[in-house]
Amino acid sequence: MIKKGIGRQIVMQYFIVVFVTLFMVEVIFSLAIRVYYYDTIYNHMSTHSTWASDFFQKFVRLSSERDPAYFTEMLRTFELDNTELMILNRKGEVKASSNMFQADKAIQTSDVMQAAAGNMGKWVGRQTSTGEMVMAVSTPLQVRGENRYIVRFVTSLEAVNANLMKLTLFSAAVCLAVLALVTLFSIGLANSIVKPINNIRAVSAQMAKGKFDVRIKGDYRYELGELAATLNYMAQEIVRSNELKDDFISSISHELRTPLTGIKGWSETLTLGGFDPEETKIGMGIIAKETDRLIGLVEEMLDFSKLQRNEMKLVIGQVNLKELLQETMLNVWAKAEQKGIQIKLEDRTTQPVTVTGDGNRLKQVFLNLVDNAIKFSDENSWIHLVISRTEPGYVLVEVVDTGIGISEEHLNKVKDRFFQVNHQGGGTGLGLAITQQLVDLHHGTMDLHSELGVGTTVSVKLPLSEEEETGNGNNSEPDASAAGEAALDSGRNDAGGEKNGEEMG
Amino acid sequence: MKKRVMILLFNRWLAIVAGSMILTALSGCTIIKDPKSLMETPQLTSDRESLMSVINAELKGAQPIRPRDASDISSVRTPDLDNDGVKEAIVFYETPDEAVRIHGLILEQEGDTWEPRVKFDGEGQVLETFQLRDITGDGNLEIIAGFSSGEEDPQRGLTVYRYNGSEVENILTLPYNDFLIDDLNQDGQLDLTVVTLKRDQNAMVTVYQYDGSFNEISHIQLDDPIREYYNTVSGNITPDLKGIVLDASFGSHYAYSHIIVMKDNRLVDLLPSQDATFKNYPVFSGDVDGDGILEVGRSEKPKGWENRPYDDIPLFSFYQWEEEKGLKFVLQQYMDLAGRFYFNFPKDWWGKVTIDPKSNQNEHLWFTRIDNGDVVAEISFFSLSEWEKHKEDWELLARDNDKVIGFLSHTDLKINKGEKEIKR
Repeated sequence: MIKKGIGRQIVMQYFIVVFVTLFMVEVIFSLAIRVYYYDTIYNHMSTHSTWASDFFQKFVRLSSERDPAYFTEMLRTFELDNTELMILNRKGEVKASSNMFQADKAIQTSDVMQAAAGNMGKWVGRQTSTGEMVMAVSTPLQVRGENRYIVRFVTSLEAVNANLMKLTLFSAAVCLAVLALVTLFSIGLANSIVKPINNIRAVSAQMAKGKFDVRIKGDYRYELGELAATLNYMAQEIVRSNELKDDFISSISHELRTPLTGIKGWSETLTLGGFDPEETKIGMGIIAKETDRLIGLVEEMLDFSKLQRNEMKLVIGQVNLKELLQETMLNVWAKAEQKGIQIKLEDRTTQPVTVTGDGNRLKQVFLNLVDNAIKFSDENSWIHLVISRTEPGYVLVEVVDTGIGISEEHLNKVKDRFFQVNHQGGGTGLGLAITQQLVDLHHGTMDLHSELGVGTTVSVKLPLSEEEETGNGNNSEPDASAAGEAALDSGRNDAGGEKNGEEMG
Repeated sequence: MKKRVMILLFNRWLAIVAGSMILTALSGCTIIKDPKSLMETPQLTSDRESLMSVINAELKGAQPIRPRDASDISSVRTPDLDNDGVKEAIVFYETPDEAVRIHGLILEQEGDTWEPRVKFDGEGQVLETFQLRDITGDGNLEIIAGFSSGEEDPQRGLTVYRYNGSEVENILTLPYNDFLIDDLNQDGQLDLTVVTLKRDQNAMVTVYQYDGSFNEISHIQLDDPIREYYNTVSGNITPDLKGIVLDASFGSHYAYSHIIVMKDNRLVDLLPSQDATFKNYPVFSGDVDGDGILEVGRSEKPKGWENRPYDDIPLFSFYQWEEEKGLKFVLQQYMDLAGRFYFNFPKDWWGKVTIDPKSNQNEHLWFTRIDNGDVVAEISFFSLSEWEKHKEDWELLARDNDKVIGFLSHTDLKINKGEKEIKR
């Protein structure tokens, strides 16, 4: 027996469906064949009867019932093989019969009644004398314009019924055989479904125990294939994110250790060095700088964990994006200057651009982006900040550099937490992830386009504030408000690229 | 979802496979048979079945024969002949190659089976009739059998057999043309009336009764130069007297009747004249109206038909005999001479309605009142297509393959075919 489970259920379902189907087919078949047999016999008798009474009326038409040969002649005319022929009068009394005996009583079956009323009658039932199943067909016979006699044919249905029974049993046997065959089939079929499921279940059980290196093997189709692929992918992702975390810990340790080493070195040097004021000044400066760096690191991590837990509070206000971008440029000016990089703001709008949001956080976004651009650009190159309004209700800010670019394989991962193309550069690998989440919090989107060796473009799209919208929108787009509203809610998390996954620090 | 569809498809496929398997299996072997080939003659009751098998074994291939007698053509009869509470079976059979052609066989029931008791010889070539009546008055049934040569000559031989439980005794042999068994003298014992006919000369009616042997009670000679009596019937002539009616035919299709009554053990011919019962068509006398008294028929010339030949007359009247008064009118009937239909005149037409002489009996008939000539009813012959147009108004009288005969009443009369058709 098949053990409980989907397999058994499938087999049972097959069994039930096929059983019901075959049962109905069997019933219909039995009924149809019975009707066919009975009708054929009925037609045989009724055609003969019609033909014979026609013939009788046309050609035999004996002058008188007193003619001694009247009924004998009639019997001869109507005679039909394998039937008993009776000539009855209208009361059902037997005037003549093809069997040798005198009939004892009048026949009152429904066929005779019908024939007495002038129609052809048929009756299927049991003979009272013998209990035999018979079919009787009665036809009225006209003599002198009047239905004087009834011609009644009686045939036994015993052989027919026996044959019908044989047919029914035979077809039932065939049905059973088919049912058995189908059940076997369905076991095979059930296995083809259950086996992969069992396989997937076993592997997923192992995964649940923490063995993420196991994979579901086998080429499954349709939903099962998708399920297997999803599970495999999930395991792979878990492994990868674990690796990322490990990388993060190692890199963060490194990041933390570097300034700490400096601080420790200088504090020891200062302690041992007899507090030479010049030396102390340099040392204390370095210690303060390294401490700033540590604070920056810790703040970044704090931000990130806040964002992760949805605890980041935004101080919402109206932010003039152009001003904000100019401030940003000023903030990085010094750093750019060091590398000889020119930063240029390209304003393609005609009016002031105001967005609703937290000015500091937005500044953090652009600072980070521009900082990254500077970090990965060659010396003496340009960085363009382009502000434009390409679609109603939104403002688009692009940070375009001509730096080293990002390869395609890394482009998908740069926004992941802890991802770094190059671990040597330092940083936590959280910068772009934080940026992305901040943009999301402002209901904006961030896209990365990059080509290795050519440069990177980061596009940040932010919804305009509503006042801005009503102020500007009514002469250009009547629908803009609604469109903007809708777009506000559809903050997207598309994967995109960045330049390098570098942090802001 | 996809899977379920697949399963459904699979099931349908299975059903088709199963169906075709059944069909292949069934068509391939003999299990499906022609229904007609499975028809069987219904079984006889086990009693009759065993009787038939005993008879067939006993006859050794000879065939049981049916009497040429429209009143009962069965060949095997199972009465209690010797009144001993045990059934006997009588069957006549034919041995065409032997000197004696017809034989009888008596069997007796023994429990579930039948035992052949005795065989006896018949006469002639053809069994005309056989009846089982207690004609000797001893409580046992006798076998009264009529034989003939099978020729057109109506001369026949009558034999009465008596079975006493072990053997068959021949107690009477007589020539006859017709015989009747009735109690004409009303003494409580059946008597035998035999009609013998000398062709084209005269006829003799003789009544016998059994009293140790068959003795003649009375006889009467009829001067009928005819070829045959086409109908003989016995019964009450008047409520008190019994007798017989003989319908004699002459010429091509003319006929007349005798009413012979038994009065004080003597036969009396009440209608010696042929004219009183002349008919242009051999209609049958008998108890036409079902009152227990015999009627004789005769042609009736409808009013206005004086110039038309007798051959055409389709109207027949029936009369009873009334003592001291003679013939009494009982019934009138229109009878199509070609035998297509008949039609009883309602009582209030008698003597008042005639058939319009201009009627054509194969097309249209008008029944008109004698006093003012009003048409009271019509009978018309329609083709099947014409009938469709007229069937709203006309009543169907008769129908055959190419025509319909309809009846149209101008009064509230309905056609009355009833059971009182006069036999012909």
